Amino acid sequence: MSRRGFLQSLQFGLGATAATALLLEDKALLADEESGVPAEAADPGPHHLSRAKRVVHVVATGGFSQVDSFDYKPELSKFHGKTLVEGLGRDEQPDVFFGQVGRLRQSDFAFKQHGESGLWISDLFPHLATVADELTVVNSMFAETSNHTPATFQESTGFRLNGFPVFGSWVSYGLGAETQNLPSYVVFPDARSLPAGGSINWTNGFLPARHQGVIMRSQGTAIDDLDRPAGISDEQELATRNLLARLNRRLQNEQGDDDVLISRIKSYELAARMQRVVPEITDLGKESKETHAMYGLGDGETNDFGRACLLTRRLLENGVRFVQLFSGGAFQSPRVNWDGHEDNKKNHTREAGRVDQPLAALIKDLKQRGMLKDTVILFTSEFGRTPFTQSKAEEVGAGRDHNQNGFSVWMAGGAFKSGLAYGSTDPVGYAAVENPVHWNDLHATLLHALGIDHKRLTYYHNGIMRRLTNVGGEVVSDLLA
Amino acid sequence: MNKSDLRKIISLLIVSGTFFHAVVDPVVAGDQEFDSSVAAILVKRCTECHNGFDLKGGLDLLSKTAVEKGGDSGPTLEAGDLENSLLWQRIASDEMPPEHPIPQEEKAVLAKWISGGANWGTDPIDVFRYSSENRAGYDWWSLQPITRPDPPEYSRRISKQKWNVANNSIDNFILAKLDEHRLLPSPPAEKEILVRRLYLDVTGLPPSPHDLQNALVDDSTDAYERLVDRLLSSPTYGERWARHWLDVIRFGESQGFERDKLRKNSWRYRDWVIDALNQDMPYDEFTKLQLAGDEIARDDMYARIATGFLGAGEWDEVGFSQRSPVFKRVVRQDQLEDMTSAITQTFLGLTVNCARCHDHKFDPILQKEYYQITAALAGTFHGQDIFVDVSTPAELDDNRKKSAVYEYRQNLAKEIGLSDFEIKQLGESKERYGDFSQYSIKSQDPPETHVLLRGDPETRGELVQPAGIKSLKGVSAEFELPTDATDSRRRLALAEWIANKGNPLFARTMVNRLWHYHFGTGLVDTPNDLGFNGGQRSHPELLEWLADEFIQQEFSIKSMHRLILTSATYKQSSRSREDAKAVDAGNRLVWRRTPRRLESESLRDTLLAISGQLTSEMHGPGYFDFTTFNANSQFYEVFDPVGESFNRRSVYRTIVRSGRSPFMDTFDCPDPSTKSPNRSVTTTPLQALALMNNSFATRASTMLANRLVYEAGDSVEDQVVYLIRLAYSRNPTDEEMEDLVQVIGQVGLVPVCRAVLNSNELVLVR
Repeated sequence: MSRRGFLQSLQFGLGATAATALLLEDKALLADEESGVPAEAADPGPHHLSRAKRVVHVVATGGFSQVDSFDYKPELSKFHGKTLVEGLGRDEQPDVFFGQVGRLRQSDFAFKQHGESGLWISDLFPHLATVADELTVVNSMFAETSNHTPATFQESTGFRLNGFPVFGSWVSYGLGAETQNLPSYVVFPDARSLPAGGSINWTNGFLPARHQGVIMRSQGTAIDDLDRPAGISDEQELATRNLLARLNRRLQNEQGDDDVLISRIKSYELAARMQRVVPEITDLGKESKETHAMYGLGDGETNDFGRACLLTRRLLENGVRFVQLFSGGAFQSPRVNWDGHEDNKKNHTREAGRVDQPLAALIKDLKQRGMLKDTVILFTSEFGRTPFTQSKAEEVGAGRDHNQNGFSVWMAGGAFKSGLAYGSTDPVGYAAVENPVHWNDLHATLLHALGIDHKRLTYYHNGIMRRLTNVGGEVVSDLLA
Repeated sequence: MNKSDLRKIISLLIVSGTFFHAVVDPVVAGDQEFDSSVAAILVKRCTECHNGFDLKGGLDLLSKTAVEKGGDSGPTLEAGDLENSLLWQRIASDEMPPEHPIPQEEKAVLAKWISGGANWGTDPIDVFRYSSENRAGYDWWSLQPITRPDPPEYSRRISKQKWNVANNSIDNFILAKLDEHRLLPSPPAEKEILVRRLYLDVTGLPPSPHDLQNALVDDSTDAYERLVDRLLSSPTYGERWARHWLDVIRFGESQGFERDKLRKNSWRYRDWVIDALNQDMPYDEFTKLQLAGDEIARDDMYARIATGFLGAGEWDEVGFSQRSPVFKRVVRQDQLEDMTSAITQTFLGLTVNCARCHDHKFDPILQKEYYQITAALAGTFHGQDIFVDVSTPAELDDNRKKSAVYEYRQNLAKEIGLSDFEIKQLGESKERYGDFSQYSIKSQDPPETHVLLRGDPETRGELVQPAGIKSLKGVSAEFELPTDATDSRRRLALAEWIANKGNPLFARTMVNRLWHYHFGTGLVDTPNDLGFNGGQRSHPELLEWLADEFIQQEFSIKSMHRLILTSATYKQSSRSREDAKAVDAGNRLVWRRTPRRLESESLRDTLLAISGQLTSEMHGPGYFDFTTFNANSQFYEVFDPVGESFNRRSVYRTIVRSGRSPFMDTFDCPDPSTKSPNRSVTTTPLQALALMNNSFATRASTMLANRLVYEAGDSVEDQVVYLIRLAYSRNPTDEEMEDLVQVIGQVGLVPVCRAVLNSNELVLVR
């Protein structure tokens, strides 16, 4: 139903708009104790039978190189040291971010086929290679800009500008959560730094505030303000809560039954439950030594991301709908993300080294617990990198510039055809040529996997029913199992 | 379909009569019947693909000659011969439109038209001629000149209430509508509830116990009206209502995008808004200065500061400095869209930005007109505006004095042991006061503006000049500028078109906003959109009347506040009534006052005020609730700073885009990059955690307990009375007194204060 029709059908009735909004917003809190948080969308999902119920989105900030990871290009080795024009066999004047177009550079990592599927994966990701048969790689992504931030916005919101809700917010809005004890959308920033744009990366945009991502820490207090402040005794806490309940009850007697009064009372009960439950869920001490080792917990470079991945699994088990994990922080010196302008090999070796083992562990662990079949794991960058180097025209340099014309992302989970490499770039991995996939298409496909019709997941904002896919998006059904 | 079916459909049509309710404009050229029925169907069902630009199947259904010519499959029509008309065959078989067959009634109209000789009307078809169930046309209500309806009567059923049901014309409109729905208004709220409501609504702060006492003991007949006037003249009014304005215009004090650099001097614009509201600057002047203060009064520092409006949004520094000229043009166009949407949504409730790639899908705005508006902004770029040379000696002196105050405090700070963070900030504020510049705009010579086909900067269409939107009746869309008009001259022309008594959307949009903030829901519940996709009007005549009254009052915003605040409608009790709830649960008919939760800023300010921490210092550089450093990009680490410098009203918080405050956000403070004409109001467990455990909130309960002892003395009863007056703006009941005294005896004052600060009565405005 259109917003207009919706309004017309409801005007002044029991369900007049403001009341509907209020009810929708408070439905979550009025829900039965055992049930989760219902979706808030006017036309909530699922819109069709779906395989997936929850999402883990790994955001590799800075832009990882497709030709060094998943997009195997033997021709690129052949044309190593040659120009892009020679490699492509046609005239092409690339318009790159820093304006320097050096010579083609072969992958710095050896490619091999893995698993029964024979998926090509480079040595950059030796652990992920062990779960090759679980992966669904798209090698034909393209973006609208090679500028990090607008490209990141598009990766997460479908739009190049600030102010739109991110994927996780939309999913939270469209599907709600399976629990009331935890936020529906949780974020783990890279332990080294927040990503560029900080909270913009998990913003609810114009969606109600409860759909903003909630930052969790993998060490210390998991969620802001979860713990009772130091210096308040059990007796005082109890006295405060009991008095609060009495004050609220008296007002309610005076004021009558108003949703806002009731839902605030309920919210304090839920908060108390969160305080009880969250420390249990986030206690990694409950996991075995073997599990710690599998995720790479300990002193090594995998510890930060490993903890986040293990926590992710525990959160998913307990009903969280969407977890966003950052591999990489902001643009600063020294680099702490995948933006390999100077020495791409060194850069990618470092970044992959932090996440490869934990990610493979997460996939295996979800699989052995029977959860991979209805979970979407998604690994994306805002764009890829150039097959030529960022250097003088006649040189093979060490760094690679931004490339929005062709890049790779991968997914895992039962909703997708596994062991598949979909689409392809030209022979040197510069631009998507076969089955190009736009972010709008990928978002539409991911929503589809979650049982959501991307055209029906809408929210009215300043004149238009907005959606994650803007005015585009085609479901790439070839990716779906 | 056989002929008898067809006859059935046609007779059905005749019986059902006018299923198109379009208002027929008497000066229509051509066949009126065609325009109002056939053309409306073609526009709704066919011309999105079959137009002169898209030409799907080589077919254009918008012009008579093109229809006669036909498309790739041959001639479209055989006039008078239905069965042999290709158009009919495709439609009758549901082949067209693909996947969305045309309903039978509409098919009947087309059949009748073709059989009857397929006479054409206005040529080419004007897609905007009539509103339909799919879109607004020229006849859309909000585009018509403003009328002033007479306040309606209501029945004795309503007027026989024991209380005064009407104070001014607003009430007539509200009561008449309630009467229509067989509802009664609610009686006026109790005095103490009204006083608290008025204080929080007008100033964003609860009354102090002293103010409360004064208000409660005043029994004169005009006591309420005088309180309204007093509050509207309080400087705290501007501080409160400026924040509403800043929401709408997505005011931020950092660049956004990758670098997100801090704009240390944007506070001058925020102060300008506060002052303009406090001075009751007429809304048309308020508007014009923000759009073209640099043209109106180039030598006036404050007029120049007003243009901070244009620099309030994001700026993609990296995007503008990238190498590729193609991508730079995209960035510029994205930025123009952002400015255009901020301007047209804010002042006109019109989403002109939706016409960047094609004609507006829902409102009568041509793509060309979108580019006409951007042509008025073609030379407007963000930048630092340095106005030290136009500042008067008095202004310079004033700023230097304020700067000196900060210096003095900074020096003193070391002695009284302030935190290093606070001392550093005092020093920064000193510098910032001394800086006679502001992040707003830097004019350039406007380049030519072309329509960009599908919004693509590389596909230029027709050359356009600055002009407005033709479908707005009552004001000429022609700017009549010379082609070499400067940037600021162009913006002034735009401003004069917008802030014009004849512009039907200008006054309507603003009075609807004012209503929205006073009642929680606008007369149109989408304050940035009075177009087709916007909400329906709950009280169409009242909106008209208010808009006209606003114009009559020479755009005095305070006059409109006064009118609304002194209405019986506003003063109604907020108690829920089952009878009324059953009819109108959402209270769109305003049968009571809707209880509302404090917005995040008011909540924070109220906690500071009640606990005696609030510093009333107005104006000046905002406080930081973050540490920041630069490493290519600027980074912000948000925290809860302790110290007097930070205990200012939240409107003085420095709003950075990538460093949002979790505490404020939890209570629905909007993303500063999102134009937010109406905040969502949610209730979540995270709010409960924040108010129970956040260091800011727990500090407030401790400080409140200290204040009670300090100001109310040792008597526990006196402390309770003072606590309830501070927090709830009333005296405690006997039951409360007994309860609180007992709990204080058991666990002390602080836990009791903590409970009160978390309670519904504190957080809600009744």
